[in-house]
Amino acid sequence: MNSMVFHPGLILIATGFIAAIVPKSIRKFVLAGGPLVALAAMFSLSYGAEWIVPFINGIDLHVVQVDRLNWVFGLIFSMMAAIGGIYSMHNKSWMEALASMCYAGGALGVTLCGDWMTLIFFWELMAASSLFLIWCNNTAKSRKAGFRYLLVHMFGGNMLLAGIFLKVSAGEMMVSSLAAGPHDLAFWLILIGVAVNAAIPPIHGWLVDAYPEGTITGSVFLSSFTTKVAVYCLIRIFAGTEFLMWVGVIMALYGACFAIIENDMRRLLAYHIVSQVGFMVAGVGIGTDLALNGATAHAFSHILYKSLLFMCAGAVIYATGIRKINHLGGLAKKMPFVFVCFVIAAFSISGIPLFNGFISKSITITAAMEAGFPAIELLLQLASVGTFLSITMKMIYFIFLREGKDVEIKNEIPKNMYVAMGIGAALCTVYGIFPDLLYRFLPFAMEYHPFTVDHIVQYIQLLCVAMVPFMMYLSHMEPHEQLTLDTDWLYRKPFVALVLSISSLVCATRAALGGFFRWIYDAFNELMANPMQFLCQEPRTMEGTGDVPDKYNPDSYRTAIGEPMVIIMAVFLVAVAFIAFA
Amino acid sequence: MQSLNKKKIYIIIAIAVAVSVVLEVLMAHPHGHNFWHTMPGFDIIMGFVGGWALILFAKKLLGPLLQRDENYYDGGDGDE
Repeated sequence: MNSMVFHPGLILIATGFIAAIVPKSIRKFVLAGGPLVALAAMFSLSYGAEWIVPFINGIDLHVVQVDRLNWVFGLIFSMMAAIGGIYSMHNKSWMEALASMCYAGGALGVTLCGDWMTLIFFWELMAASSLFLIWCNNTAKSRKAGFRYLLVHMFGGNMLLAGIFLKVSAGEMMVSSLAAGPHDLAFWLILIGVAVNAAIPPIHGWLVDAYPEGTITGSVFLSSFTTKVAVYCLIRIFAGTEFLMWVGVIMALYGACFAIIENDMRRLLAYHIVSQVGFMVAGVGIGTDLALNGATAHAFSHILYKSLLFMCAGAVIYATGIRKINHLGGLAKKMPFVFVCFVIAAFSISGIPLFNGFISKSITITAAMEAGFPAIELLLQLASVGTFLSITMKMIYFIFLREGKDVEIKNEIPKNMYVAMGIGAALCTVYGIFPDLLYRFLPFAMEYHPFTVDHIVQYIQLLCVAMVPFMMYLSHMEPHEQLTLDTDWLYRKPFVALVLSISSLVCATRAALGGFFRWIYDAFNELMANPMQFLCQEPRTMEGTGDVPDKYNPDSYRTAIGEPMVIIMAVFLVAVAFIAFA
Repeated sequence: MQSLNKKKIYIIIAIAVAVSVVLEVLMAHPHGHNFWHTMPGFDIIMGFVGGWALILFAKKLLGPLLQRDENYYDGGDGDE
């Protein structure tokens, strides 16, 4: 079927280019309207829709190949592009508008495509365009963080490219599941490439390093696409790869623990991306239909509440200019709308019933139980406690509720930011109350009811009681004015030292070799200054002076002209005699 | 949170938890069969012990081990 297909990703990319060239006054309407067109295009795609474009060497590019799995991801990515577009309407920067729309378009491109070559093209487009969302912040820190981001993603992209190269050269053009094996080189290369984008430790350092340095609006986009596109690829390619469930559990706990001590708002939220993506990766590892539905649903919910958290944090930074939690306080009264939205997002991410985190997170945990992995189930619940402590308790209390900090509101928040936050908050609540709005689009058939007494009671107990340790330890809970080392330390300190030492070793070797050859050259020169010395010819003394010259001087070796003349004449005579008498 | 506030919150938590335990005993039909599914109030222990474990692990171990001065890397205020 190759009927008329409107590619939502290409619509977003076109939106970006249009937004970049039109005057500022029109740009905001383009940014708000373009993603809505893309969303409409997404709804026009039905399951089974295809768009095949012929490429070189008889290869066909399956630019669009829709099934239940990528449709639901495409839907949330288009929705997020629309929310993000509204949130960034006030932006003056044409480059940021272009980068954000190309980035969202790239995410849709990866999601909707059916073959490896289209996938890697849009994958690299995402990496390249997202970089500019960091660089547009235009601070020294963001430039450096962006450069590190670029290096890590070039590494990941090249791993993926190498894996895809192996697949394509073996004649496998279409994206397909590799979980059943063989676990060959292509499997590992593609897994590493996807794992970089999914921020799987230890290669997650780029995320917590770069996302807090992005622009206020850029971070909202960043938080939504890269990791969730990687989750989509994990579900598509690696569903049922068992070790991934342990990787997921480690991620879930890792992010939660680091978030408890983190001081930078957006870095704390970035740690919770690692943590929440851990739930999805665990679902991919479990690999049952229920677990994969859980991972898909959680990606869907996560994009909504995480972007809302980033929007609220961005609004706080926009209004106050402060990004450190220990400098903030008492904003509930000064920014009531942001406070309400933040509370909704925080309740969602913690999995409080009637908000959308609950309806998706609990699927994965139930799937772990039903598949017979009790340790995974308990550890994921523990991670939920950590999420609740560091976002709902810590951020709400220290940023919004505590008294004694006089934070000045310097800038009025633009109306479009309020609208975007309002839409995000409404969606978090609507999906939380009516989970069937989401469940009906999930890729696999399942029998699951979130609102059982059992589930609700469990979360009430778990989260209510988790408040107690926080309040008992409240005086020590305020984060310190410090940064936390993470795996990016490896390439910011030891790796830098390694590179510097290798480079000084190379420089020293070069200098030493240069010196050595110079010495040989000089010695050779000195030796060759007078080749006649080899022949053990004593030079004659210079006439009149009695000096022996240092360097070769033909005059000191010249003999009188008579001697050669005698020899020449003798030879001549012998020759003539031979000719005459022979 | 003032101490009075704190006390109020503790009471609210206690009531909510008590109600939830009663509901659990009377109405819940746990899907799982391990002891943490069937034992009423297991999640209370989980939340309390787990909460403390995470807080202490992060604050007492991760913090001292991994937290550094803000200028640890290079200050970041200027380009090189």
